Amino acid sequence: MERNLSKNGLINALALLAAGLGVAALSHYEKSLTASVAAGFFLVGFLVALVSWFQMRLALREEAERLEVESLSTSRGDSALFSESAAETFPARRAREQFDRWLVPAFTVLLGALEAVGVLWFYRELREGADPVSAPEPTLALAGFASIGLVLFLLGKYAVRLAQLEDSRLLRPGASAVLLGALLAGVSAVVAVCDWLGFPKYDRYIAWVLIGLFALVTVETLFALIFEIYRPRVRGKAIRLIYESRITGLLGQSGGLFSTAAQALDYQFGFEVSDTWFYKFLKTRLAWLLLVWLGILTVSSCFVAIDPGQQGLLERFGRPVEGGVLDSGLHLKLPWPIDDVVRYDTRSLQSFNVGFVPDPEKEGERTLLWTRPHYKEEFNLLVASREQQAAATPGDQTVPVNLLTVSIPVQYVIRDVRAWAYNHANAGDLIERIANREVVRYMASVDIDKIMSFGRLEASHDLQALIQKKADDARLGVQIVLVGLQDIHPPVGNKQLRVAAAYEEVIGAIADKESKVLAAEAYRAETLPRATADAARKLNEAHAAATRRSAMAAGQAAQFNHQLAAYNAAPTVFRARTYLDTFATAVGPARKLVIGPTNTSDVIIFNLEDSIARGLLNDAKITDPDKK
Amino acid sequence: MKKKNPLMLLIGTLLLLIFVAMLFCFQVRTTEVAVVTTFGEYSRSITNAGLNFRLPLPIQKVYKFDNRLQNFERKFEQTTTKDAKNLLITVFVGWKVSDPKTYLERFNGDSVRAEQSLENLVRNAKNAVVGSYNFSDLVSPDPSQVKFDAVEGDILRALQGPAHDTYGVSIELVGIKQLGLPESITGKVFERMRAERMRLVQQFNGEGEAKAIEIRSEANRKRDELLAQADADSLRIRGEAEAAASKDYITLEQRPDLAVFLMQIEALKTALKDRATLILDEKVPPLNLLSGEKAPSAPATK
Repeated sequence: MERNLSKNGLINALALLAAGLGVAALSHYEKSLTASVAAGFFLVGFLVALVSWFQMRLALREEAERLEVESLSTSRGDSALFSESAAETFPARRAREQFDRWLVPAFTVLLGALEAVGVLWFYRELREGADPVSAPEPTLALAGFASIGLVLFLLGKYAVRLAQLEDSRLLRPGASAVLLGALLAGVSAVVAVCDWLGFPKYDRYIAWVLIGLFALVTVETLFALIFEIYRPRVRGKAIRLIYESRITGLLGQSGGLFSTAAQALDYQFGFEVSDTWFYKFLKTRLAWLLLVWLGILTVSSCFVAIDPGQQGLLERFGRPVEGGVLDSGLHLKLPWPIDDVVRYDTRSLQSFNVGFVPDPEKEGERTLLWTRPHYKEEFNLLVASREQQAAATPGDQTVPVNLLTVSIPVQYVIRDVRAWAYNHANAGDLIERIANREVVRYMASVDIDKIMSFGRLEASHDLQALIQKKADDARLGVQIVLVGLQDIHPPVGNKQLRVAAAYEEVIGAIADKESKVLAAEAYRAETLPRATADAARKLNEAHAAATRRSAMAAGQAAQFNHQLAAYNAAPTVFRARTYLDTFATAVGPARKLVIGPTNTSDVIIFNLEDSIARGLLNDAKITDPDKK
Repeated sequence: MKKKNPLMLLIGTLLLLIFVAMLFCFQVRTTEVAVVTTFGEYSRSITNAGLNFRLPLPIQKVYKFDNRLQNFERKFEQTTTKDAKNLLITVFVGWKVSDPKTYLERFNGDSVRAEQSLENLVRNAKNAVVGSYNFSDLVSPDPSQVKFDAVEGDILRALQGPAHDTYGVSIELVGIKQLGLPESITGKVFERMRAERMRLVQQFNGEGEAKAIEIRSEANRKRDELLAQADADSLRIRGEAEAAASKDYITLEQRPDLAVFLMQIEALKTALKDRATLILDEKVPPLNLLSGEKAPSAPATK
């Protein structure tokens, strides 16, 4: 029975190690946080079980030695033997005592440190961790965790019961660790189920809970160490194992939650707890268990789900299967490793940029100016300069080129997933390089002014055709959807030579020219109608004057005829009347000075204004026209 | 206790078979080429995808390489053309494993190492080929003069032989990815581009002014023409009216003295209309009445 205990202890340790490795591998593959924390527990449990097993072996050796010495002493009856020192007589006991005194505390310190490091590490991992990702194959995770949990549960239940029956305190820590492992594997399986059902976030919550538990166990270990220092040393009293966790031990106690559940299960399935039933069970049921597990794995590898936007390539023993391009949906295939499916994103639009590397910092800018660099890196493309080429002389060191900055986003979709996947190792890089090559090649001979203005659309069509052709030549299996000549402009230049600014000045000058011409045209538009109007006015005035002239002449002639009649009738009276009438009306409003007869008879002095110098008037001699 | 369990036996056999199969078989994907070595010695290479036989690990070892076309590019490197012009050039190269044995020996199947070694070969070939072309074969205003394809073809041919013989690699694709100019020359080009633009600015300024002057002077000329025509027309109209009027004046010629008298009267009326100061002789009728003259005779007639 004692041997049995030791063997069971070793089995516990090895089972914990194997399960720990299995859980760690699964957690890594399935990206389960819970399971990775559980793997930490497994490691701690393994160490505990290993040390307790070692201690158990020492105890067994001590026991064997004691029996041997006893039998020797009874057979000889010689007391001289006991006169020798105890250390020499009982090397195994001494070894055990040394182990208890030194190595156990040392191991506990180590364990505590390890646990503390583990807690910190998990804490950091979890805090910095990305968003929860769903496991690639939750069913596999579920099956794996569940089987590990089941095996550990059976093993742990047996070991706990054994420890209780034999009252072996040394078996207890390992047994408790195995049971805890079973619980954790079960929890991981539950998390996998949650993931499968579409709740990957619970993984994180439960991982936090487990880290809390881990921290609790760590604190417990540290307190146990401190209490050990102040423990009263009573000889002969069985010492508690300081590395044994009471929290973990709760699981293994009879009447505890877990063992109650285990007993209920026992009752339900009628398994007998004995020291042989586990091996019996292994013989009768494990084969089925394994078979079922393998079956599940095989069946699950017969189905392949292709996500929307993806296509899969079916390969049998690495050879592409005829017609084996799988569209999105559920497909059947032969189980792994016969058939394998490689997935590719074929429906989604892929894109890259030619001529620039986008600057994430400037992504938010709303205006793009020629004169300010707006990408992280812009490449200058060489464009032949027509003027320079013509003017170049042989041996001239200057290069007949202009430089141009372009930003050309190219978008493509995978048209033929087989060509894409099987012809090129890095097809994405190649299409980018080909596109670059075509742009460089095209720009080398382009007319810079044309492409910056009206030639843009044409150039984008040309480039699309060129890139498509090259891609087809390289059997890339892609369809170029868009070659956008988003931005073609002269390089920004450097501080002294602001080239783009000079180009803008030209545009400014063109605008200036336009505005000057427009101003002149406005002047013309104003001047000509006005001149026309002036001319019309002049003509109208002339017409009016002419009409007036002829009408007046006709009127005067008519009037004269009448006056003539009057005159002929009474010539003198007519003259006098007309004269005097006129005199009265005409002279009436005027200022009048009448000069008396003392003056010279035929001189009339016109005193035009009072203020006019008299001397001047004195000289003026004007003959009255009427008087003569 | 040791009861025979056929199921267990079956499973055991099955697992054993799987294990043995795993030891003795290996898969080659269609994208791969595999090399089998026996005790470190090359024994065969497999290019056909599928399941293949091998001896277990310590005896035979399997190396797998990517059999697809791989492409890489390295430095943006300065070189000189035949007509002694400096330029920077990057080429990309597409290659694949053509001789798995040599490839394994040279690079231990490491594609990064292979590409590093190829890089040197590519640089040599690139510099030699570019050195045999003129600058205008790469950049020219005439699209038919741009000989990218020829340059790429030459580099490809220069690479193919040595790459296969020494590296076990076949070069399938060479492309010029980027052309550029050294910093100093870039500055000069900037300078020239700027100067060209400045010349255009001047040109457009001049052109604008010239055009404006042209338009303005033309407008002025048209205006002057119009006005001159109008003046001429109005003179003519007035003259015609004068001519027409003169016919009416013939009537007045019946009694010229009366006509003149009447005109004088009219003139007097008009002349005295505005502010005027008259200094009159008392003899002027009817003021002669003031000096006692009796009968008003006819006013001063001749």
